[in-house]
Amino acid sequence: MHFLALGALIFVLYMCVPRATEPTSDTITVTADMVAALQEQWQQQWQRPPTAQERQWLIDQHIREEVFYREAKALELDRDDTIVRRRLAQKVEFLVADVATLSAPSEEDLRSFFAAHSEQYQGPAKLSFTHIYFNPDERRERIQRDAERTLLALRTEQPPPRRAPARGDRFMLHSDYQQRTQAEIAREFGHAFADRLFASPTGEWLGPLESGYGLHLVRIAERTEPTMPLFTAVHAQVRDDLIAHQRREANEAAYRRLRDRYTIIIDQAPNTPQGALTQGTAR
Amino acid sequence: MKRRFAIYLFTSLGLISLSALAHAQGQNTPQKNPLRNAYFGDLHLHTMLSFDAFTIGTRTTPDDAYRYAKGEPIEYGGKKIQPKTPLDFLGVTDHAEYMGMIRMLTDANNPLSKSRWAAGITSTDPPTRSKTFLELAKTISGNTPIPEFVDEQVLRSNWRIIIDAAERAYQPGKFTTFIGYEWTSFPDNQNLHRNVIFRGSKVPPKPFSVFDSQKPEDLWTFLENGRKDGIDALAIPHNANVSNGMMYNLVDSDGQPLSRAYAERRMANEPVNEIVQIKGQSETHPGLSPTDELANFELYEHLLATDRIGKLDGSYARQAYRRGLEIEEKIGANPYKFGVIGSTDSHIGASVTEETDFPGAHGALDATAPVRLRPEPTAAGEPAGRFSAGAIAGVWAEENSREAIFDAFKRKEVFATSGTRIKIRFFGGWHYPKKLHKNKSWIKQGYDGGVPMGSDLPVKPATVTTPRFVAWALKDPESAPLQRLQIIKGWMADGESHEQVFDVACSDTLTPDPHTHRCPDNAATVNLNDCSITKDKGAVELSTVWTDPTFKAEQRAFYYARVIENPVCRWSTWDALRNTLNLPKHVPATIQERAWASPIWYTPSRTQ
Repeated sequence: MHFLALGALIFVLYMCVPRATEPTSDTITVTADMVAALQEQWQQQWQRPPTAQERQWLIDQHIREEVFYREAKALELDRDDTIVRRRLAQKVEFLVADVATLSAPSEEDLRSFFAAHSEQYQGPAKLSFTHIYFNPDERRERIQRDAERTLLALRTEQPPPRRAPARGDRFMLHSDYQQRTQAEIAREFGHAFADRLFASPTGEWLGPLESGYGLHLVRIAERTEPTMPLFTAVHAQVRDDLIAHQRREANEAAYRRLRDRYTIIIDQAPNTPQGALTQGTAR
Repeated sequence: MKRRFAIYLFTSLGLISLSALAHAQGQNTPQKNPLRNAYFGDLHLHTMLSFDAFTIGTRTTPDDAYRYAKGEPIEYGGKKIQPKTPLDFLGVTDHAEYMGMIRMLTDANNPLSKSRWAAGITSTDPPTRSKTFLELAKTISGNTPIPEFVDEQVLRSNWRIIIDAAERAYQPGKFTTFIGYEWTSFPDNQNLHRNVIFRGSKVPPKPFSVFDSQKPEDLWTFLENGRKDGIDALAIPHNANVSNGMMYNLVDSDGQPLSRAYAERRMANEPVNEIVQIKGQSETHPGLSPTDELANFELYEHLLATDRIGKLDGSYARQAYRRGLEIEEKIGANPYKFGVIGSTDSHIGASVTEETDFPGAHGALDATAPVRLRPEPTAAGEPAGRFSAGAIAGVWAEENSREAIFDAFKRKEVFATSGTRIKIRFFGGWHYPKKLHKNKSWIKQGYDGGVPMGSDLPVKPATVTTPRFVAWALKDPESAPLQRLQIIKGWMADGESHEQVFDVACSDTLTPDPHTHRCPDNAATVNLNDCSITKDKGAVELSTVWTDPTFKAEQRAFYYARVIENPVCRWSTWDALRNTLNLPKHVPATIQERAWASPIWYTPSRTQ
């Protein structure tokens, strides 16, 4: 517990001290806090406080690291090291991201976000259909022929029946389905069946369609195209999405502000084909 | 200070807890079905908030886990993964111990990142990482918590992330989420783990972890106290197979013989056990059930993170049911009268259950095919190939909502599958007609004239000599046809328990042999060159009304149904084929997926 509090303290100090005031001279100061932190690390690793000798060794190691660190910085060794560069970049990105604190979106914000991104809130298409089932356990090799004959009979009747489950075998789930999405049908009958069903016309008997259970003759009564939900029904989701959206935007804007401080020159690599480059610039 | 520090960390990780909002349901809420629908789900899944999952490289969040379960693609190990078929419900169950702490070690801004644990976990040397992981696990199995990893404020905030993710993803009628966590007790690596699943939004401010107590009895006290405050929850034991006989023991945590109070408390708090998941099945073992030819199925025998093989006695559900009868005969209460489910226990933040494209379940330990198929053991104890490709919790509930599904758990009207979506129904009663299963309204009659899985048979009427059972199973539309439907019976005779497997319905117009009680082989095969299966073998649906030929009114008994699919390629075979590797020799090439219905118990009335 202690360690965490102390760590937090060091961390917050580190965050608050503006970089410009850091001593750039050739002085290395080892503060009491730093020594305490080193001792705490030792304690954690060895389950006992360091001896005076070990304590001195820790401080020496720290100084040694600091000396090399500063020399490395002076030589700009960090520039060529991908890992160091990336790590430093990430640290700043974290800082920037957090600075971009957001206010809670208003109702008006939510409504306009909903209007602008309406397509992502559309419900999927739905079908209502009835079917006649042919069970392979019962009919074995006759199944295809039986289904096709039944289909022919249905088509010659005037008017064709709206539903006729009894002309096939008992089906263990339902004979009639109302307003089901493709995913729901796939879950019940298998994906191949759902794909074919959703690609089929309405109002006529068709098939045989194969499912995970056997063959089916199907009549789609109604197809409902994707619908727009009421704003109130998706309010919470819109709110989550808008906050996520704002966060991305804010992070991007923070990056832009930093980037604008730089003049960026992208040198054309000599071995890149000219055509590709021109195309790139034109875009 | 500490609090602000914690908040900073969460926001910097982009895991902002938004206020929990259960989404209002649209107009198309399906009506309640009094005859109940089958829903398939997972009540055991780990994300980056679990100490072990994070250590082995998992970075998926609880939000990702719910998105995946709903059918959306998520990123895992630099690849996009998406389930073929979504689940109906999911409870993310990260380990309570060090919940969400380990990821903080890799944040350079966090002082914990300077600890030796951080150095071990982020080491580029795999053996160092494994060693650190095992050491971490040891602080849990040995109950020696690392003090700075159990900061209560931070733990509460991490628990909040899990709560908020479940609340956000809940869509009553369409997709149910449960708030939950895993209580990770494994004294001396003997697995006593339980998942704690909450009924609603009301949950305790922090989980009861193994650092509070390693004894299940103390966890029950915590749950019982919660109920007094209106917080309903269940604990679901799992991986009895690696408990070294501790899960279904004959004594309690203090070594005392099981009492009536123990039995009653256990059943009130743990009505359901998870008997199949990535680390094998806990139904039974060939050593305990030598006459069950199908007992040799997805065995996983090494105690967690060790090279020790555990004891069989006390480690499997079927024997527990038998012990339950024996104990009940002595003390008048049965501590092992539980229903069964499966779940994944995947540690990749995604409930993967398909054999055909298994991405592994343990991050870096099994992220690529060559690693998955190596015969050498992983840090988890067994070779990666021994793990199973997930499993599923099935429930019979009136609608897809927290209340309806949780109540199904309480009445044990639940079933387990080894990963496919087989539907299985099982009823017991005294007056069912012999051909009830042929009747159009058989389900209604099943309920009206008897009891469903997970229940006690009604008291035997004097006029009837034997009970009848209605068993029914329907294949998964995306998996192989069914091969046989079985009823497993256990009973007491002369002070001892016994068991027998009865095949009760066979595919392909075959019938069980009246003497051996076995279906003839239906000759279904798998082509190991391309994983194609025999087209014309097996059944879409198997059902029967079964009259117990060995019933004796004075013998207490249990009955459960099991249905077996035709064989298909096991995930390891698919993996080898897809990656043109040799078929691994240390695991079977094929698997017969299956489902288990919770038992129905018979107790003689006192006058018998």
